[in-house]
Amino acid sequence: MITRLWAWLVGYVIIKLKGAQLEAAVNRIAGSGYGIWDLERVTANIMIGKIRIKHFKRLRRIMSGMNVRVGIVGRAGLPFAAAKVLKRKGLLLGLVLTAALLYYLTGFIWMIDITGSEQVSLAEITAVLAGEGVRVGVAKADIDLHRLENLLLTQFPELSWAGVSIKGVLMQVRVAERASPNLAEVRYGDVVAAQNGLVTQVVPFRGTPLVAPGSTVKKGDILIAGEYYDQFGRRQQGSAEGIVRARVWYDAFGEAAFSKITEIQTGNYHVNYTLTIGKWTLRLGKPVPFVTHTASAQTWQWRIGGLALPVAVTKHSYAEVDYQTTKISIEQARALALERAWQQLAAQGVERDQVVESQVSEYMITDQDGIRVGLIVELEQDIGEFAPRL
Amino acid sequence: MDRGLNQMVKKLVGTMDLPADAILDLPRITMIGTGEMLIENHKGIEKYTSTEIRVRIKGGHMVVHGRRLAVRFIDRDDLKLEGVITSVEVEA
Repeated sequence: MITRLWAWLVGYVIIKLKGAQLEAAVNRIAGSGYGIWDLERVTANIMIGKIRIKHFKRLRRIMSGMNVRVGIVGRAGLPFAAAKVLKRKGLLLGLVLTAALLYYLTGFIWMIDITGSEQVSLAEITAVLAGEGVRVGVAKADIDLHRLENLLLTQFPELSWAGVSIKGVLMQVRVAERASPNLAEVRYGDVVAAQNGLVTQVVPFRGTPLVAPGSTVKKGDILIAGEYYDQFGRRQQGSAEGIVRARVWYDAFGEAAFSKITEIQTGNYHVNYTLTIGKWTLRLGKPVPFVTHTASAQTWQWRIGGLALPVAVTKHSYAEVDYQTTKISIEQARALALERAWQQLAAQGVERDQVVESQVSEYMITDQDGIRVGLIVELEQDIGEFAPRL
Repeated sequence: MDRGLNQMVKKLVGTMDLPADAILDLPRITMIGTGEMLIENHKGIEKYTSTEIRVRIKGGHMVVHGRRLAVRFIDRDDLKLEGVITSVEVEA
């Protein structure tokens, strides 16, 4: 097998031996150290066999004096195949170009494989990579693997290890996440006040309470500290948890005027048209004669099939109006102002349905133009929120 | 080789358990089933037809009979035959 393969690589010829002493001729060739294979006796005076090119060239000398003629009936092997290909310039050029293109294309990343992430989503990792310009189709030379690894570790604290490698056109991103199943459990932080208030009740679940009923607290004050001492007297740093209820106040105001301006149509109407051709506009009809009016317009544009022609006609309708000032009673104005005040409170997160009358105090300021209604709502609610310490 | 010397070498080969084919240039014949035969240390083909191949070996001849016999390979030392081998004769 190896002999045959080697023969193919170096090239061989199929020879025809013709003559009377064929066995003697074969013995002489073989005896000279030149192997012949696939030797077949075709007729009594013809044999066909295969021999390496190099050996064939020396046959003439060996066979001198024998009454046997040697001829070539075929050529085979790599040198002949290569010669054949070399003659076909177009094919050769195509092969070279294909090889060059393949080589060029292997200089890019065509696949990105991300494995090992559970808490961190693939999309997040992909987004970070994309932010660095690493996406399918990027040149390998532009990628700094070490930098990417460090970037992943700094961007995602959940990761304990990141490995980025390139195998051919495949980029492998392998990450390992920290063993801790729940980061919130081991976070260190306090319960702080979400807003100002007067503390009415403190129920710590974990941590050390720093306020007591009666304390006034400002937004951001620590209510329950994350530091505490466990049953063995050891100082621990954990996530504080608990309920801190406090009286908190919300205030808001609304204003309303004692008069209201309304528009009343007089019943006079006017219509005119404009013709638009391209950039040009031509008014058809008289200009509007009213000082105060409302206007509406309707446009027709001609079309042929789906194509809009640059010609349009617009109908303008005007209705004359008078503005009248209507008086509003104090009661109506107060109700309007109160409503506006409640809307302001709602924007602060106070739901009107949950507030009872006893929690609301109201004040009014009036002058000749209008009224201002102020509301102060006192609620008792949990004001604690978790704030992690870094 | 002188007859006396030859006898001595044969004795030495026998005593020392040396490979006789290598030392004495004797043929080594290997058959794989009845379809393939390798003859090492042959001395040349004397007759080649599709039913009979006669090969010269040291000290005589061997004749292979069969059908569709062919020389798959031949060089100075080795001769490989293929075909359906029906009998092998050795003539000293």
